[in-house]
Amino acid sequence: MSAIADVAERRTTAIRRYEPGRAAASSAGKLSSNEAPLGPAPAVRAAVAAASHTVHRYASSEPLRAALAARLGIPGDRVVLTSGSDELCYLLATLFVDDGDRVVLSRPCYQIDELVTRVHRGAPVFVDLREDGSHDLDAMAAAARDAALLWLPTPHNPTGAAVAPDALVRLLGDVPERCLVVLDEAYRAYADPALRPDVGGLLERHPNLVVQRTFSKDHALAGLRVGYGLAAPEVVAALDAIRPPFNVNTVAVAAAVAALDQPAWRAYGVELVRRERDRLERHLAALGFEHHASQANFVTARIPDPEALHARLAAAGQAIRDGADLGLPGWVRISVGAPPQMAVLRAVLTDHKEHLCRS
Amino acid sequence: METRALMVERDLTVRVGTRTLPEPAADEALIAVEWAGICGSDLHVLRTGDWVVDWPATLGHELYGRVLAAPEGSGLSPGDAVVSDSRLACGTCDWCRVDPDRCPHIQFVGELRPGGFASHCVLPARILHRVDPGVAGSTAVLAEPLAVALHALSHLDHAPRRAAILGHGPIGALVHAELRRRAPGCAVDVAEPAALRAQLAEALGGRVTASSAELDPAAYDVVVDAAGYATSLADALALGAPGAHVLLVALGHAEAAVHPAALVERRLRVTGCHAFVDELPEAIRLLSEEGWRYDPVVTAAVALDDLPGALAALLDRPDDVKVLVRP
Repeated sequence: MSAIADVAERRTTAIRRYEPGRAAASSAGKLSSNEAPLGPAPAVRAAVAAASHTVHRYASSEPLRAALAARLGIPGDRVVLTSGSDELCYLLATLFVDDGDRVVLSRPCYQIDELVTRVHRGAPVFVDLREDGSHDLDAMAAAARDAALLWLPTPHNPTGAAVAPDALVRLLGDVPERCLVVLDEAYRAYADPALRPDVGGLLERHPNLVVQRTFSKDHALAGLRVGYGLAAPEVVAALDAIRPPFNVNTVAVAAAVAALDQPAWRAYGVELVRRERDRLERHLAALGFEHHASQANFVTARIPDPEALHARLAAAGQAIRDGADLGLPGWVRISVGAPPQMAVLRAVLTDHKEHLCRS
Repeated sequence: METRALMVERDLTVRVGTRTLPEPAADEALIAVEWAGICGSDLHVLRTGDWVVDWPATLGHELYGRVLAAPEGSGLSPGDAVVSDSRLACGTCDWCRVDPDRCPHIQFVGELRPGGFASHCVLPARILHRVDPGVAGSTAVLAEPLAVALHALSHLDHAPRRAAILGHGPIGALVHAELRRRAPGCAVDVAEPAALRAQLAEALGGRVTASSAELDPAAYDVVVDAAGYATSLADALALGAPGAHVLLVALGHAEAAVHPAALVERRLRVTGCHAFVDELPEAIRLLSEEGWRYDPVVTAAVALDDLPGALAALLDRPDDVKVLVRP
């Protein structure tokens, strides 16, 4: 092995590479990556087409920053734009995690949070989720006392459990100011309104808070990679200083600006997902399959013989995420798709249950 | 052969059971149904028993499936993905000799003969249209109702600037989605009281009110009555601007009071838009190229065993837009 290869291996030996959700026979049958089944609004598709005429120029993301600030009622100097919200994870770890720094995560955690922690040679401190799939906030706060960073996705991926706003306020009060708290709200739109915290007020009171959001879920732009962070102006300035220039591309900026102007389309897509999520949870309960009550656009369930289930789904043109990929062996994570796909999925689950009963 | 099917009895009770299908005749094909759509006219049958010839009725005239057997020379082969035309002209009258689309005795799949709310059905090969197998069946099954929407809009001789749609059920919603494609700049107002239907109308860019009384009188150059409630014709006429085109798509069944002078003075054109004529191939093309425009109308999908409950819910309190059935 060459010296360079040796370095490359040593730097990645503790890192588990991110594996995307399985492909399916058809686009609609891919229920493995928590994507938006309806896709973007017609006006957003038109904006994408129009933006293609200016791709020979470097992108300016300022229109998106301004549109977000106006839509959210948050000053523009509190908004940082990233190429997908995952890029924000990398940037935050670059800024705030040094060799050996303690970094608090739930177990199982969102994979990218652990990956970037290890890339920056932080020391992960894992706190087991509660039985219901929710974060153990007291234990996380205790672990954060001498930590540099705490990752907190809510609703959590891979369980879909959400942190109640009053519990979040308590956590932020318990965590020392020198520890950065990253509130990942990728699935916020799918949660009950009572479980969506007032992040504007929290950001004012807690300069160590970063709110992480994405256009990949309810805005249906996963393939364009647009995310953003909300934070104290000083943190945003630091992130802007280290982020790659032009990190959000021209087409992505145009699409995201257009998507912000289509709240009714977004709300309708979310409503369909919430309805189908409820149908899926009722079906899982009727079949006797344990699952976590989800506030996200997926449902995670413990289903015996998952390999056989994957095979049955593949025969029906569908794919879901195996829990082993996500730190939940024996479980599966089912992204909520369009109503027809969910009808097919429910039929396969029923068939799987009947096979389990016979065997 | 035997098939699992929805069966509507003469007393309008509904159940899922097994029925025997006839062997396909020389000009008929056997279809394995993969998706079927619930139409407002299916609900009318369940309320009244109108139009049914063959009891117990297996309704369902919007269907997508795979050919299992087809007559030689029909252009169909086993495995082909197909959608069905819904119309069955009598084939014997004077109109049928020159223009079957104008047959006064026209009847529909599911009423004259067993339809698509079944795992299999037998249909004349001539009413089956092949579909690109790459198109999702749950999208292609929208071809029949989309053809109805295309036919209604085919009567317009100009792109509307301002349109009103009464009722945002499946046909109203497909008319709306198609208007957006044809005339993106058209302002569309929708009268729809049901929450989910109204939410879809807003998602498509419409301004939504709960009733037509809240819309602007004599302000629209196109008015589409896709509701069919007792006074919807009068309400639609009241919304038409001078020279407006009023398209009647819904099958209203109440006597309607019409003031002739109002029609004359405002030069209103009123067109009854029954089913469609030759729009089914165009609907199939649109669904294969831009299915994403129309997919949002599908708000629920159920297994055949759950169909009686879904029908009861739609009869009781319609909120869903298009409900599909997976036999």
